[in-house]
Amino acid sequence: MKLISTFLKDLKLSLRSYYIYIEIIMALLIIAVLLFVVPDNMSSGYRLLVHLDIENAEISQVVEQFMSKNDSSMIDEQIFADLDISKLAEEELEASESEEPGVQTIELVDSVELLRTGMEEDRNTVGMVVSFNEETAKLAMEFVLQGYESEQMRNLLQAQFAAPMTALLPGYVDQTELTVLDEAAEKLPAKVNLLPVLLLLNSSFVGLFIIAAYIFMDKEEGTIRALTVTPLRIREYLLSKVGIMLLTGIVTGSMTVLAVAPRHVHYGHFLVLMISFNLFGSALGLLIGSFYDTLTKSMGSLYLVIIVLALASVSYFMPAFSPLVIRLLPSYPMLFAIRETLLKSPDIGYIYTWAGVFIAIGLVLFALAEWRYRKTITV
Amino acid sequence: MIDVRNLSYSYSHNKSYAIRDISFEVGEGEVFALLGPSGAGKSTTQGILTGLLPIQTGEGEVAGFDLRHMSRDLFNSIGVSFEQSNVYGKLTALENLAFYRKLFDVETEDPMELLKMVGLDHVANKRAGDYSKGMKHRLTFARSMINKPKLWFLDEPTTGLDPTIAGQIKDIVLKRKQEGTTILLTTHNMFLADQLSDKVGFIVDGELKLIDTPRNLKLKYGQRLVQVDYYQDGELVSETLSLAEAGEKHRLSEIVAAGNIETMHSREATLEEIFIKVTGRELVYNEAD
Repeated sequence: MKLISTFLKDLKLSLRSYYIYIEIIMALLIIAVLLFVVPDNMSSGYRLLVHLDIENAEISQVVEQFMSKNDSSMIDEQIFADLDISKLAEEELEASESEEPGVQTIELVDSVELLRTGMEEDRNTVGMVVSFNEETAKLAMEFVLQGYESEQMRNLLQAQFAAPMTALLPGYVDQTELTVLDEAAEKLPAKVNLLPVLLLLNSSFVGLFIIAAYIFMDKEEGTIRALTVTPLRIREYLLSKVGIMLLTGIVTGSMTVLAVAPRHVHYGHFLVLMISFNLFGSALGLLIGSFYDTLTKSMGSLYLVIIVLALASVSYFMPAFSPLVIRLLPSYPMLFAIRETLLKSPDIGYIYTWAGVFIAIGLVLFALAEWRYRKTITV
Repeated sequence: MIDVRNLSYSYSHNKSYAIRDISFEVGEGEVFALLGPSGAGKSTTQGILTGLLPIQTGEGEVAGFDLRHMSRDLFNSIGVSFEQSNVYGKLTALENLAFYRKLFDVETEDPMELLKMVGLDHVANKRAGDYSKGMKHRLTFARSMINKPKLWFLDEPTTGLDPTIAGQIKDIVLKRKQEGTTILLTTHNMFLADQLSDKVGFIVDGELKLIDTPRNLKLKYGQRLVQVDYYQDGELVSETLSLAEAGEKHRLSEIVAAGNIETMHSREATLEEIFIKVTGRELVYNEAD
């Protein structure tokens, strides 16, 4: 009863102060950006300028058509039947529309000079000069790079063009074996794929940002002293604040997924994760706040923790970069668990394992925070 | 109702004590005033007794609860009126009191009745943040009565109030005293302490110098004086004469015999004069205390 009364009082105070509206405005901004700014699909690829240094007209036409991303039907299968490049050209077209890194658009230029000029004008461009050796009947490719491309990118370019082009030539036998680890791997649209990071920071970790501010507000107003001379327990006082953070997180999180990914999200799983991660964030915010007597003094530590937790988003967007130090961050499994709730076939085991783990950690942090506040709340 | 022995407290947990070796008792229905200048240790003592500060050394009981094993149930029996107003500025006065009454497990006062008592009923639905300092102070005072406390802690209850309102607050305290409420009053206001208290304790530099009733203190440390205004050769003359001195008693007889007296008042030493005499310190008030 005391907890409910305190929660209702805190809710009233929240609605009459501006912190909760900041959270709601942030959620609305996120929704607006995702709906109106972020495209459905984002490309991280390169533009490729190609100069064909081939005198043999037939070969030149084959290669030119291979490079063409606009219309694979242009390829004359009667003339080049033995080269079977039509399938390859279609694959190239698909690749050019995907979100994968690599070459996304291909443009033919008439000279090496034009290729270099084009690269200087657009630094997201790489160049390729293709030549044909009549004696050996082999194609040769020279890549012209800006200089900052990674080794992986260089390998990718070779893989994307060298092998397929070699396959154009007669007598080529493909011995490549392809194994897929997860046949059911699902790719989310770009704006939905961004949701886990934004939901984690704005809705799950709302308590980490704000709960300490609520406590310090009570301290400044002196009302915390008045409460400590009533039968209300410190645990009930803190739980009420956690409840407000939970409500705020669920409201802003639900608003966001309803607006951006209403048909993607599994609401039940999503709600469980919001509760679990929000409890963790609030308990952590309470514990950090307990070491300080003003909001200003606590800001440095809170900011540092938030920045460190946000580092996990780097590995979320670049799975190839996931060193142990990032995988150990709590936010790392949180991001992927939220992502699971947005997939058609979510991994229920993964979701509920991490939900349970963070509820347990949240409870431990809350108990520590309560112990700290018992000693420090009025001193 | 209160029984504490050898209380000491250091904010820095070293030998720099805010209070040192304080012992006193307050019986049921008594009003005990803790008097002292700024920084003397009044609020620290009250902080320990109300559980706001943890007990460090010494022992004691408040309303039957051991200070070392304090239960939240204690707070059903006590009320605390803070010197600094501490109400929710974003809630109305009525909402403030309505919330606090739900925190107690005992019968509570009607919030509106309390607001009437302190003269805030006409602004009951106004947010406390829009109140003047005096109004907030009255709301804090009213809140301390919400659970009908058996033991009432009052920290500077009339500070910052205009004389009329201060008089009303004093009357409320007197009424509660008559109803049997035990009161611990911490104040620098000797007049208030004199009017309300059964016992007073002088505290200076964290040490309780003496405890006694105001009457005994006046008898022990004060002088019985008479202030007389009379006409002499057509001019008004004023003299203060001690009844303890034989010469001055004789002088008073002469003035009375001359029959030209305009006014004559007996005058006792004030608690403030006695405080200065006992402690060698003045009661300078500082709001930050």
